Amino acid sequence: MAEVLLEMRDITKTFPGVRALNRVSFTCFKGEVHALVGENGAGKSTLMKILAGATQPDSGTILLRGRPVHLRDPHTAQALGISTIYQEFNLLPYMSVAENILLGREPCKRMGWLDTAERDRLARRALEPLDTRIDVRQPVYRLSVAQQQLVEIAKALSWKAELIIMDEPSAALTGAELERLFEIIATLKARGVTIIYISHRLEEVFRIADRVTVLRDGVNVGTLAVAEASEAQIIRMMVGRELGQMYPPRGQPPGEVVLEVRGLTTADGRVRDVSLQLRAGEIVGLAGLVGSGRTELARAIFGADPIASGEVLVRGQRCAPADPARAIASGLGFVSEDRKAEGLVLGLSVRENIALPSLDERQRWGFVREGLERAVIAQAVSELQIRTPSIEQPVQYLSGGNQQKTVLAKWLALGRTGDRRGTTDEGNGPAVILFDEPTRGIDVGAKAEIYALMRALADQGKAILMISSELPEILGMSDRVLVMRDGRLVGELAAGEASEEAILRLAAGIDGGRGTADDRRRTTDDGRRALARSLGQQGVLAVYVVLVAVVLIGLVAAPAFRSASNLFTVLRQATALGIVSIGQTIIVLAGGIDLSVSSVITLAALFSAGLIQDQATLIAPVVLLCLGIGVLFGLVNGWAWVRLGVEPFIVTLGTLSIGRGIALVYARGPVGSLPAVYRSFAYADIGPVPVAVIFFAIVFTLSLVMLQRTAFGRHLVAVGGNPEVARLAGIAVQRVKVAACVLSGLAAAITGLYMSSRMGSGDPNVGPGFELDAITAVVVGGTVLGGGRGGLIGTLGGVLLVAVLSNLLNLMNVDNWYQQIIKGAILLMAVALYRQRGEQR
Amino acid sequence: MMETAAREPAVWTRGRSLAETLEAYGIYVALVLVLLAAALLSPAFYQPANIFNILRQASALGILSVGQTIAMIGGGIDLSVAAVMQLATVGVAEIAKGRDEGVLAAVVIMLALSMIVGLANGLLVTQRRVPPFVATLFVGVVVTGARQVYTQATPSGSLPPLIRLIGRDSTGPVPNAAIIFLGLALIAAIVLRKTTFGRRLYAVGGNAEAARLAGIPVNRVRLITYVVCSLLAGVAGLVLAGYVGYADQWIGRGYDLDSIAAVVIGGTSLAGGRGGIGGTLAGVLLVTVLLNLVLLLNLNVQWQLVVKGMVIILAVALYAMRRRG
Repeated sequence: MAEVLLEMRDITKTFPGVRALNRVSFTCFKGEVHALVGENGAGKSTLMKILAGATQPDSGTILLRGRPVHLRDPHTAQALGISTIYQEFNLLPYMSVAENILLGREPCKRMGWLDTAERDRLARRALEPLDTRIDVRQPVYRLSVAQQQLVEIAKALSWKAELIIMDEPSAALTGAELERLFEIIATLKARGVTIIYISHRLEEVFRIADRVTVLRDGVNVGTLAVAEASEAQIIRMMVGRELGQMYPPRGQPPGEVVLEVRGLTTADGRVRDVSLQLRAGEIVGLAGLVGSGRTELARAIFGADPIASGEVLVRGQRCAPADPARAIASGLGFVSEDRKAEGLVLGLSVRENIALPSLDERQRWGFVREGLERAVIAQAVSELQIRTPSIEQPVQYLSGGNQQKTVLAKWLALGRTGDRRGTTDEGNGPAVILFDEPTRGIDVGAKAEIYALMRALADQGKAILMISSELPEILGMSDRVLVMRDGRLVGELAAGEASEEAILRLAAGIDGGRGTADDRRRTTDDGRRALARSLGQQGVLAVYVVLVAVVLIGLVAAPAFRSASNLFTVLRQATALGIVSIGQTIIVLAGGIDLSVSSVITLAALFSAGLIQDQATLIAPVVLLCLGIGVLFGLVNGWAWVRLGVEPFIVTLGTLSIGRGIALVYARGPVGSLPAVYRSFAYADIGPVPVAVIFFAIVFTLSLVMLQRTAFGRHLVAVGGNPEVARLAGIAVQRVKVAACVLSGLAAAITGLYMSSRMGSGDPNVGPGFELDAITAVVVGGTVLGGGRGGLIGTLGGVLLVAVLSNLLNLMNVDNWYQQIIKGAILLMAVALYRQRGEQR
Repeated sequence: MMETAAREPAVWTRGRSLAETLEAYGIYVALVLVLLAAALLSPAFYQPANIFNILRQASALGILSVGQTIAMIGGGIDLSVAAVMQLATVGVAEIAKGRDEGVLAAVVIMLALSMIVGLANGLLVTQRRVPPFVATLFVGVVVTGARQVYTQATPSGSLPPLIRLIGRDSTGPVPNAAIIFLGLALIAAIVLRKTTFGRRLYAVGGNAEAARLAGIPVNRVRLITYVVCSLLAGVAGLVLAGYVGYADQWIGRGYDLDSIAAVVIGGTSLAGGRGGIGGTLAGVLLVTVLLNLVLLLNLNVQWQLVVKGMVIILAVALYAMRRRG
């Protein structure tokens, strides 16, 4: 067991302004569970990112099994047997468990045809050691978080991982799930897999780890055998000084009640019947395990999430719920746990960010009073000691600690101009400030500063609620500690009686039984799963519902609608839009969009008629030429997308214009003519069925099969769903994107050929409008513009809906112009029905 | 240990790299280069008549693009602008029927209608959470249909002389259309840079959740951008009518994608939260000048489309490369 699997030597990594890792050396034995602990900002994630190939060290070497390796990207690391399971899983939610596990390595029969049976079998085999009954065919979004984690582990195992890095794996687990995780880790260990277990929960480290390495401020402070270490020892190594020195001394006894919460229950049930009081001058710590509802409580108090029942009173005044603006006016401030996503607008400057909540206090007739603003901001920056070259500095360049101070400064800038709304009597910002993980991701020095600031604010008379997962922080800062579990407040401890053990006992439940937790989670998860399931089907269903409704109306209202020949007319008209929409669906699924299709259609129509000119012998080469044009546009679009990094919307907007120009240079009016043979494509019938419709059916079926049953098709959907996950699985993302563009161009070219066959000549006015119609059909059919979700069946519904609508309105002799309105309104309705319950793009 | 810099010139801020400065000002450099090239390629370019013609031509698209800029900074997009513009053009002709007496009423009605369309867009996006691309696309279709119903597809032909005054005539040497365009652009630029609304808009476009948690009424801000964008589209329609001299069915086709192109070339990002009127102005002028050059060089007018397409791709590729590296 003492065989060395991994050795990292003298790893150094510097980011602008901070040295994340300073000559860190780290060794792992084969088959051990090695815990990696350290405070936020200690360097754990950076070290692991380097190991995972996600970032490169500035210097140092890595040896795997004694041989130096260069982990240049995540795929390389994975191929070498290093798998990483991140906190936010790298899964594609709308693809099945089996597809996720085998992504990039799908077993194929000949010609890229998926062997789905084998794939499912391999997936089940990967899940076997984990002793679970997950159905590998269901989509991942239907699984609970714990089950998704199992899928991730199975994925790692199927990659023959010898080293699995788990980043805070217990963060989202409770009760029985956590026990399962530990069992699995034991199983993996028995199979000889090495595990690096990153966690800030020392109790887990003592439970499952063989050795533990402590990082502090980018330095490896030491590695201990867990059996010989004590918790106090580890904490001392993590913090580097006695706990007492980090935290400022407590202040005066608290004053009057400033915040009162009565019976608060949130709409989603994650907070249940919570009542508490905060007094001026005190810092109240809120402890609990992840998932206990602390953040949800703070957000509910602040009005960021809807409340089902209960009240919030600030200084005796009732605060209206579900509106942060009103909370701010009442005197609340909220420093959220994710400063980059929720606390700051990264593209704006320090000044603009700090000024944001208090803009109305420094305006005249709607104009910002810049001089006053600069003064107020400068004062805030100086008070909080925010280190920045100037207040105009874009906030994204500040270090984590200074960013956090900037978030805090937002609230302190309120009330500085004599406007007493929502502030303490001293007119100095909100009366109550809610902090959620205030020192996450911040180096130790900045942490001490923030602690001092918080105590100073309390001394000024503010009431502070501090949510934290770091027990030393809770113990060091709080005058009182509240503990939450499963959405309820389960205990309150005074400063004197609070200890890590006491808190944990309350947070975890005395006997460790967390039945209620599992039940609650399950209910919420079930609810979410059901919603998600209905979401997945909603889009497709919506379009067919509307289609059926329209058809029924037609059958009743227009006798001519009921004939078979009319049906085929509709289908023939649907063919043109249908073919180009197939191509559009493919590119949208891959995460792109193609506006240039209309120009490709025009060019193909023009060139086919203009070059063939009634000579049947030229049909074959000219058709090939036109298809080539489609391919060419696709290549150009794809190249600009992946190489130049231009958004597909813009690229294809450009090629749309270019293509249109070329077409109009070639011909301003209808040109050319086509032989009967060619025209029969659009007009001939086989029995009662038009050739064109048969052709469309064939193309549709082939495309559907390609998307669902070939490795390429699945890769395409994966790329659209999450390009990073696809890349990690070894999929050639860029090539897939270009291929999608080419297919779209090809489909457009075919449509153009069909149009010239229908019209008998090449008309440059044919084409414009197709691009938006195709996108309409795709969107109405439920394919999401972001990619990764939806499909051809929905598009077919969209195409049919458009065709049937047009046909019906014509038969009913509705004015051409009214048709536009009605069509637009119905399509809008179909989209709104779907979107109402779905997410925005 | 903190240094607060003294007032620094807006062009160069410490901490702002060369690449960023280039990104911010590249479009102006390009515009200057193109203007220089124009002088070299065609002596006819700098004839006053041509210059003012360019300004006049750029006005309708310019006004449209100002509105589009506002919508895009907020993180949205508006594909109905061409439809609204056409509605205003045709509507004012129909209502006023070639006489000046009805002009004021006609203008007021059309601008009010434009705002209603903008309201519809905004409500669909904020209340129904329909993606802006889709919502404005369909609203545009409905508006176009309504317009065609109302006019029965016959060109209205006659415009009141007052409208012609706006679009075609000049005050002194400067075309009225250009005055309106630049005036509106100036107002928009001031609002974006100097008012609380402008600050809120950039925050909403940059990070809507952070803006919400800072107490900003995100939905209201977005709604306003769509109303303003449509209103400006209506104004653009009136200006265009005056410039072209008649109101028919095809006027202004394609202007929606053109306005997006001008805005994007000017540096405003589709994602929102960055960009500004200055860049859009330069983008509009750049595109219009290039198109004008094509004509002056006696090239087939359809090459304009090719030029436009290449400029779009080139400009955005350059921005993308700056941002990445």
